Amino acid sequence: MFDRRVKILLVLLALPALAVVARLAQLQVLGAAYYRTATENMLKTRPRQFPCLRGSILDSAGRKLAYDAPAWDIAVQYGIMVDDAAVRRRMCKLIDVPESELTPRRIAESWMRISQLTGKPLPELQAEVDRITFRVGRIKRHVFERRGIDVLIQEELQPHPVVVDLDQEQQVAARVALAAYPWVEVVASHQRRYEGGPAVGHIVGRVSRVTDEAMNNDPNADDPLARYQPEDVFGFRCVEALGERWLRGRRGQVHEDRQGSPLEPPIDAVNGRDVYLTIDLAFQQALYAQLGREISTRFPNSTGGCAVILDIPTRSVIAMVSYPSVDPNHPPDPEKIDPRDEVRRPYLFRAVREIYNPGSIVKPMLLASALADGTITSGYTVECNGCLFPDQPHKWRCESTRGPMDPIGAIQHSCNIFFYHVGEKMGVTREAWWMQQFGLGQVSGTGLLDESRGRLPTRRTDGEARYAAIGQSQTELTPIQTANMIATIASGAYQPVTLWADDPRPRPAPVRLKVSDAIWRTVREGMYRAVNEPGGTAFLHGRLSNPGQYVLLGKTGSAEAWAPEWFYPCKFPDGSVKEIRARNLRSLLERYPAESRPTVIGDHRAPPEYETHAWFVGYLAPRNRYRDDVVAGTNGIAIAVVIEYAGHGGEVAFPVATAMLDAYLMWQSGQPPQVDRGVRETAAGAGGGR
Amino acid sequence: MKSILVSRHAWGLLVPVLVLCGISLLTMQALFSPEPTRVPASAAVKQLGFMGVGLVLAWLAAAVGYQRLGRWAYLLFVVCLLILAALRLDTRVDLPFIPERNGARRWIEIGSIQLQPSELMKIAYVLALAWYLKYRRNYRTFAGLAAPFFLTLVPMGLIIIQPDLGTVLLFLPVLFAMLFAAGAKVRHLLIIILLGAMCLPLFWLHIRDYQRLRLVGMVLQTQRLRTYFDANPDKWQWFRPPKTTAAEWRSELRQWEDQAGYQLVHGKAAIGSGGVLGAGWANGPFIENEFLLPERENDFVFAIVANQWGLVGALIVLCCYAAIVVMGLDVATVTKDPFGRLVAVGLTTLIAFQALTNLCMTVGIGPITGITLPFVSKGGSSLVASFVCVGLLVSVARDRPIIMAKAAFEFDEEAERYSHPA
Repeated sequence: MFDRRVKILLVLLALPALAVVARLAQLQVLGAAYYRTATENMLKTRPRQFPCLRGSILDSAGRKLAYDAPAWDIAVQYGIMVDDAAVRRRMCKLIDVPESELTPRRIAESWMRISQLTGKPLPELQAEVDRITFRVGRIKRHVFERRGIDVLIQEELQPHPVVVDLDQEQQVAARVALAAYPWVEVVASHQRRYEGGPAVGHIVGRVSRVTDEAMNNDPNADDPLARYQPEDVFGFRCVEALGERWLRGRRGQVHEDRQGSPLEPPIDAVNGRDVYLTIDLAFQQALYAQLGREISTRFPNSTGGCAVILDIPTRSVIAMVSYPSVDPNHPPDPEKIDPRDEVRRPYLFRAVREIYNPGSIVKPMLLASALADGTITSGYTVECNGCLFPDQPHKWRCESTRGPMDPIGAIQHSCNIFFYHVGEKMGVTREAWWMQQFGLGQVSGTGLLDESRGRLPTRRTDGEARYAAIGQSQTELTPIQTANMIATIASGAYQPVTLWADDPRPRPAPVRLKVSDAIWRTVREGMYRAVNEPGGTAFLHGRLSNPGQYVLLGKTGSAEAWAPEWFYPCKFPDGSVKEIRARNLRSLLERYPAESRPTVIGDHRAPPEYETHAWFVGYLAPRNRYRDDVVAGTNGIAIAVVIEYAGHGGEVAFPVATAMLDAYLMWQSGQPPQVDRGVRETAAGAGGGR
Repeated sequence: MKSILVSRHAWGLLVPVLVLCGISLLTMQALFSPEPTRVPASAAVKQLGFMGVGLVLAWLAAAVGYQRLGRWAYLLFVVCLLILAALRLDTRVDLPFIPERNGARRWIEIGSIQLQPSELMKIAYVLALAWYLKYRRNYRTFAGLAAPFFLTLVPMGLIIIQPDLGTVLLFLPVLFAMLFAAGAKVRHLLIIILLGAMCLPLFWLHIRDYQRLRLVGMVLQTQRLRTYFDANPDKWQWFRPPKTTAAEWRSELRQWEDQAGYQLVHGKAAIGSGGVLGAGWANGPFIENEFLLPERENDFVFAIVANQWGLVGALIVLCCYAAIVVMGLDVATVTKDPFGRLVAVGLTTLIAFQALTNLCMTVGIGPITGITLPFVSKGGSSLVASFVCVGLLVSVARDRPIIMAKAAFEFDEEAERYSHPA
């Protein structure tokens, strides 16, 4: 039986052997010609792609705010970065250097030279090398996972930039000094540069090396020339992110055989499209300087502020400044961050990102809503006794006892008692509904990913209804929303805001609110009187220096706000007790190592210097027709200004707004906007503080 | 059966082996020397050195004798198991002599010498299994198969976690061949194969994505089927790796030739473009361009042989393996010692299956498993292990005891008993 079974085994082994013979015959006899052609095709080089420039971002006058400038990088062969004999051997073949030349001493020398030339310390170069080797290692693992074989990948045989953004002079010096090291190359590249400094830093945003998440969600993933590649940059914030799809462009490609003859027609690189903004750089800079000067000199306890100016007929942003800010060309060094920045938050784009209680600036909007709803009539009068309930004199109060208040007077004097009644009659649901009609509680339309939606009241109680009517408690808005709210009051119609002059996306048409002209006139009259007539909350605090044919209508607001930092009574491990100032408990504890971390031993209290947020919103209208709708051709602009923790809106924000409007009118009359060069423009140098 | 191929001087087995070694040396020289006709390649010299070591060890194995080794078979088997366990231990405690490559721990590094313990395990396994089976008869029962299977599954388990799927796949054919030759009931073996097939979905779920793609690679060779799966990703769900989304699966299919199928496509191109007579020694794009066929000196060396010497060269290689197998099985039939018979069957099946698996994967009729071609692929451990196999076969042929009885494993089916004195 054994012999028989061995014979069977032999037959069983012969069967696959015969299959191999048959397959060999198929491949080598029948398919020889086909496979020769296939081999020839494999010998063709892979298509080579070459980069395109990212589109520029320009202001309304065509001045560049962000653009790709030529630059040079120092790139080092990957074989030098890793200790891998196979990679190094192949690299030596490619750059035609004998392996004996690659001594550790020579390699170390080359790194030293790079460091000396560029001023980049060796640990930073090492960190860069670690980043590159990590990335290439990840690609290699991916290839191994897919192919199941350990092969040298393209990235292992290429130089990788370790120092970027050399200028012309540096690159010439580098070429000379590094010529002795064939594994180091100086390669042409380009670098994103920003003009306009911190004044436009927030608006323009910045680019960053493409992330895994961006690559996974790439809308151009199917286009090999447009999709992200690992070393690409992508718009990370604000307009750079908003216009990403258009700014990116498409790489070019050549596909040649080994002899250099084209296999396919070359594809030219298509540079990204330029993006024109509606803002004006010079005016923006003037406004930023002015805001910075005001805050740093007049309101040292303020943590910052912002201003938004909109063109009412088109709702385009003319200027949008947020102070303090950062210069996108000089990203902050994490080691040198000013401790005051914990409360000043220079990276925060206040105009679109931060939400504030609006305070009394919502009153004109609420009045128009209540009148349009029929909740009150234009003859509705409330007796202001200084408080809503005589038995609770410190709650639900007004700043003074004003006597009988009609709708116009209530706006002029900013009477809280009147609006408590109005709010209570309307209820939170209607108040919130009307706020939505004015574009509140939704993004303003700039398209910036960084934008907040704000917050509308939801708690259906009488108390919340009263608070909502004076812009406190749950109601929180962004400055750009408030500017658009005022533009809606000025024009009678809501339209989303735009920041992008040649936006290719379709724009929604204005929506006329269901508010009668008579109601608008009542509201506008109140706003006119608030600024221009005695008793108005802004009347005593300034005026336009040269208004010409315009008149300013507006509303002040002083919003109570939580302090940005607190005093915490702390007991330290050594037994000492101190009051420590911090933004919150977490940031306090993060300052100390675990062994010397204090414990909080009582209630925290607010530092006394923080006052209310000062608001002013208003608009310029033709003097003789100020109660009519602002229409195209009348050059009306809306403004919203908020100065954080600075006090009363009329005393603080209104003069700042009038100064800005003066600058605008001067600029409109053909004079260059005034830029105060004395104001330090970097975040670290910005004055102010607590 | 009277042997005409193998006498007591069984060194004739070395003839096809040396032909294969010659082909291997020429291929290494062609692949690694800048001027193959003049400058000896270091890889070829190294390979020649391994062949020398292999020959010495083969002679040593023959000199010591398979019977003496058989007495130490269990000990050898346990030592190998311990070494394999040490590889696993390295994942928890970093052992200095075990390097990690691409997440796999398969080698032991002693100075500049690298050993692959799984190669030694294969031989130890054959010896231990043969020693276990030699005088037993309980594997005629279903329960009696448990012990041989246990003996097989332990090293398989330790090798699969290295991970080294290819080597693992050699153990089962060897086990079945030895059980079959020893006289186990075919019905039992078929039931086990059926049970194993039923466990395949479990196996499918636990292998890596690239391994799945390699296994379905044979089907995906057809562009028409790839297009069909691309258009209908929800059909043939079981082809799709479990953790892969439909979009990833589609992208996988579109990039198959550049990703999972890269090796297969390029291997076939190398073989096919060789034609009947080949491109000539040290000639052609697959020699000049190292990127055109990765692993061309290891797993895909047969593609280079077929490319250089065409169908003629490929058939010579096949004939060499055929000669080794025929002679190996002939050794089994001429010896009457039950242990020697099983050792000869086991080692011959081992070499045959290794060669067939490699050849099938290279020509695209079997999954890519990462198994080397015995005597031809570059690498020391595999080559030396193959030489030791030949040495043991020679030992079986030469040192067989003269048994004054009927031949071993001559099972009398009617009497339900073995004819030899147990």
